[in-house]
Amino acid sequence: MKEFTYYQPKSVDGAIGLLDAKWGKTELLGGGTDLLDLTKEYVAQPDKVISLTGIANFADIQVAPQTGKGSVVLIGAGARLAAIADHAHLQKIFPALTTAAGMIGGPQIRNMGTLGGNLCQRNRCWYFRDEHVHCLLKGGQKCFALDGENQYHAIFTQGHKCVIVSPSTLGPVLIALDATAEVQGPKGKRTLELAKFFFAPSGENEREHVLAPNEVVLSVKIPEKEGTRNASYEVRQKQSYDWPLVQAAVAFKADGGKATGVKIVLGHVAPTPLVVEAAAKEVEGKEVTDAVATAAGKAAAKDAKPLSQNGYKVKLVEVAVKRALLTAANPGKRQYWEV
Amino acid sequence: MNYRINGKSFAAEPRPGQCLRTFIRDLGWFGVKKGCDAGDCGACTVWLDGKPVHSCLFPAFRADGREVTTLQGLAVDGKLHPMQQAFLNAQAFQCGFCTAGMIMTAASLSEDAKKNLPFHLKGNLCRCTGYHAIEDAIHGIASVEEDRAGHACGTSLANPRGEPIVTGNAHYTMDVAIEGMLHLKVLRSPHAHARITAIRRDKALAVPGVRAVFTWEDVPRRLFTTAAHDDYHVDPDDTYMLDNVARFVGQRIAAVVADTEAAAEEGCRLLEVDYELLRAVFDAEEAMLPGAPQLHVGKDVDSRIQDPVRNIFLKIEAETGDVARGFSEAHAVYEGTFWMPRIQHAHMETHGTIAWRTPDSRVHVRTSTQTPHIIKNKLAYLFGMFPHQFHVFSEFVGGGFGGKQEMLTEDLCVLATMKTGRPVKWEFTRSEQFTAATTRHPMKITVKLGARKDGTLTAMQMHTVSDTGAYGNHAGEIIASSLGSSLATYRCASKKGTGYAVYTNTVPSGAFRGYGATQPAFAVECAIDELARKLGIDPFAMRRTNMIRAQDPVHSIWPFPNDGVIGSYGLDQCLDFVEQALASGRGETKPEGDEWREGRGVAIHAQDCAPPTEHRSEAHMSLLPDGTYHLSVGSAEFGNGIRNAQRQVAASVLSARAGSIAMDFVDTDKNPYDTGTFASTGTSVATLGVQKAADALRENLLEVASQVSSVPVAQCSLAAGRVRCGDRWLSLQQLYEASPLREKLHVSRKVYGSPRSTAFLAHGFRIAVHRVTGEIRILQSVQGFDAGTILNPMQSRGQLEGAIAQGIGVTLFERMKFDASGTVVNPTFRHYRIPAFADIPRSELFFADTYDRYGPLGAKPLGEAPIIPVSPAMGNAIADATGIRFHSLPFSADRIFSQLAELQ
Repeated sequence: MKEFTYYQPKSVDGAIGLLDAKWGKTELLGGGTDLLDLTKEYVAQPDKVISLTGIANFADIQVAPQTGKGSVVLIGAGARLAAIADHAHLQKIFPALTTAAGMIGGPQIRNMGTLGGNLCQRNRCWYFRDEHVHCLLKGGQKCFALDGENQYHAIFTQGHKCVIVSPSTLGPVLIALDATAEVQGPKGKRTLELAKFFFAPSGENEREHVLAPNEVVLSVKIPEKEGTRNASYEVRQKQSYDWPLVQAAVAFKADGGKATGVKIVLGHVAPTPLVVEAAAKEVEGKEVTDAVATAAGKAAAKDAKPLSQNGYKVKLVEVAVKRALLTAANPGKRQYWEV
Repeated sequence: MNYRINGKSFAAEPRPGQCLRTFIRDLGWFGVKKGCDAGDCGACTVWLDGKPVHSCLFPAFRADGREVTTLQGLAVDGKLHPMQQAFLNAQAFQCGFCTAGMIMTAASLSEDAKKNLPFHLKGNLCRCTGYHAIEDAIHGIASVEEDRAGHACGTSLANPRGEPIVTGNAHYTMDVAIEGMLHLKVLRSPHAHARITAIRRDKALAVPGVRAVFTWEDVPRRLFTTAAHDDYHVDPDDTYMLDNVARFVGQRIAAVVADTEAAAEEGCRLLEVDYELLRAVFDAEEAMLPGAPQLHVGKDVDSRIQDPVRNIFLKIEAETGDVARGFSEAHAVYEGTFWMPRIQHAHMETHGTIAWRTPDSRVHVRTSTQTPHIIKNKLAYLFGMFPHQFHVFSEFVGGGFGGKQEMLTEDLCVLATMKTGRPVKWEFTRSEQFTAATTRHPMKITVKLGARKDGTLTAMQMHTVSDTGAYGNHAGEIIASSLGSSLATYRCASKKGTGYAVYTNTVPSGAFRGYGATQPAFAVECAIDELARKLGIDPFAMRRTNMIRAQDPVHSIWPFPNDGVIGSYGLDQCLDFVEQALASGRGETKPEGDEWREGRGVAIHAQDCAPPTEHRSEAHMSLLPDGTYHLSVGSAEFGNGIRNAQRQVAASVLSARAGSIAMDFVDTDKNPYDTGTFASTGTSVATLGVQKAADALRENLLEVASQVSSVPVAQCSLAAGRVRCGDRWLSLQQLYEASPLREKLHVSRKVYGSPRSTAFLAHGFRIAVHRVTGEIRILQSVQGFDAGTILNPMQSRGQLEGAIAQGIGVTLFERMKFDASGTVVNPTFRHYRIPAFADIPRSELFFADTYDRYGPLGAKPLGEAPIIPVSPAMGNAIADATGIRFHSLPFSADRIFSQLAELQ
């Protein structure tokens, strides 16, 4: 790895002051589970690494009750994935979030990795991760996965020059839950819907999110809605430590047996999390039965344009959406597919 | 900065960007291991303020002021942590390399978390055990039995070196600090086929700390093979230590040695190499076509390459009986082509060597190997020196599975230490394991079988194309093996085989557990089921009709006699067990819903013990003045448990406690010659030598006892660690002191790997396949194994469980993927997925009751073969469940979904 200088500022302002306005020379260090790997592989070669762990209250999880409206949950960007996964109140109101956080990596990764890191991590494309491959995201002229080895790549490829999949598992869940992120840059703070947080990069000066190089995610806010039902379901190649092949996050309001305000978001199938409105329409206003869930799965997969080796993921989308909906609709029930 | 590690305080400054793992090791705590250096395997797990983290991904800076605990800090006041004791009691390790991290995770689990181990052990990989013993340990189940004199054989005795493993004090290859040590790194070829026209080293040499750069111009221009065999003629001498032609992406181009690993790495990056690109070929069949790029043309006689123009290292063809007539007599014929991809051993300790010279002109080579004696001879050959000038040894070796029957790191370390005069260390990265170590030979195999209406086989024919990659190490023995045991498993008068070992511009293949028998067994066992299906015969009945019987000769395609024999026969017992177990209703039930299809599958195998070529071993055994024994044998221990088995055999012969027999680590200065531990020879050759030495020592002891006591030798016996002379008892110490001829108390015996007996096994699966997702759930896994006498039941179960787990990995997930330039795209555990705890079911195991007439105390080997029937049993189960025959591995969702989609 290339040598760099390490900083541990005590405040967000301090961190922002150290950040460069361009990508490449400075990197933020959350849990380090992604950045250390990238630097060891020379994919990231920063001069400065700015640790965020010195900032006070950066890892807090706050639940603020609101009168008559459920609570508002505020999660600091530095919150460990393990802390999110194990949070008893979150488990009750946002099982989609705690399940997804608990499925990431293994226990060691969850003890290190953070919410902010999960949202801002680099993609897992094996061409991108190989220092010697000069792909689009490293200033090159082509996406090697497009006609190369692409079994884990995007299946919703329309309009994308680079066919990575968004690596964030919390992103789709937070979009489904209508969360917002607070970010801070040199000009101050701004609030961003999670649905607008992610970005499909196609060049070396772009990342998998819309933040500027000198912006920092401070926290994520999730409103609890009355009668909310939510779930995240992942299909994996193995039972264990893997990035999911496909993820579906769903949220809706259970309104006298009918689902309303349905949100269905796919993960790991496109360069960003993908909101599938057509699938939500299949469920809106209906009871979530096996047949409705199956129809929603089919609708979710309908527009997929897979690559040469990943057609199988289209089928997985159907199953993931179906299972996520049935899980959300039947909290606490042991489903037939569970081991 | 101030660090507290294992209760001790340090003031130290980590290097910029240094991770906690290397920082801790630099401070001398070697109990923290590198398995992947990327947060995938968990071998480096430490506690940070009591919580497990991957120290390889944890910035060392961040541990400032926090409490770091490693495995070496877990015991308090010399008393083991309960989890360490539990791992000892269950012997929840084989090579012990992953144990350092596994215990740290296990010891952090709450009682509640222990109820969901598949989930909580996601971050720790073990390649040896198959996780059953680890589960036992965490649940407090003990397997170790008491070591009583005269009862060693057949008892589950603990590994005598278990305590260093569970305390983190076991020293693996890299776990030493040597003053003045240099670090070696290698620049590897980015091209699959290229000629080097120039290498400019100025910039590399200008890096502070870089001491030397070596290229092809600096090494002895001597062809050799990296494969380790007693008879080196079986492999082609087609390799140079450093070459001016690169034949695969990842081949060594130049070596840089420097004061630090970082400087060596930087030096490699600053080397400037000009290449003349050559056309490359990646497919073995294409490589044989006219006009294909030639890899080794001009090396025919020197290298023993049969047809370098067509890239064929070796073609084998033979026939017994009359296959054409056999097929003409058949009522049903099945022909199918099967394909097995390239896979990697994935032992947790990567390849690595440390070498240094002493003033007596000797070179000492501390290395991670299965074959220390062959390495010694190879180094002598390469450097034009005498074998006695080399001292090759290991302490703990972190797994091998065949991957360490190869010289991959020793030669360059020796070169660098000879040139610089300094100790030199080289440790492979996990990526190098995939791009530059060896792999299992990919094979394309066409099998044709014919049978009569009653199922009797009339002809068997096999055509194998084996891709040996850029170099031919092991290619000849493997192609021969591929035409051997899987055909010999069946009685059939007419058998024919053709095999090609072919060069391509890909990473070299090599020895892998199962050694050329796994790939054809997949083809043949799937074909047997297909033929049975055509004839409407049950797969078990089909096998019973045709499988080899106790009185049969062991023969495949060769018409001349061979030394394969059946020393005991238990295939029938194994198959009965599998059939009854699958029918028993035990195991998991199929998930609900018509999306899931259930099926059962079986496969059998007869595996010859020891290679058909040369294999030798010698054992020395002595009675010591204090009445204990010393046993010296040169076969390597790398987690396979062979040294414990050897101790047990000697203890049984001498009616002693196994604990009264001391053994050294493998060391060419201390141990007599042994070809190496591979091809199941640890038991069938080396342990047989141990038995013969122990027999000889026993005879001598009784003779001495008779002389000393004046009691006839017939009335003298060894019992309970003492000598009985009539009605008088002597301690062994007394016997030693009274012995008139001390020479009688030291014996030596040599053995040779012939005849080669046969082990038998059967594997069965009951599975559920999800017809949409392609998910495969293993509902039941059962294996019956005939290994003759079971020397150590606990260890034997561990070998089976580990091999089955490895088999499940290569059947369901594992495959090295190459892009169009011949580059491995998945050289990490994150993308090359080996099974974790959650992926492996608990197998039901059965050992047949037989006694082999050739093996040590009736034993046959069992470490190699249990992987062999796993893939075909799974393939047959999937075919039973879905009606679809999948012809290539692995059975991952991306590869099977399109055919499954046709199922409604």
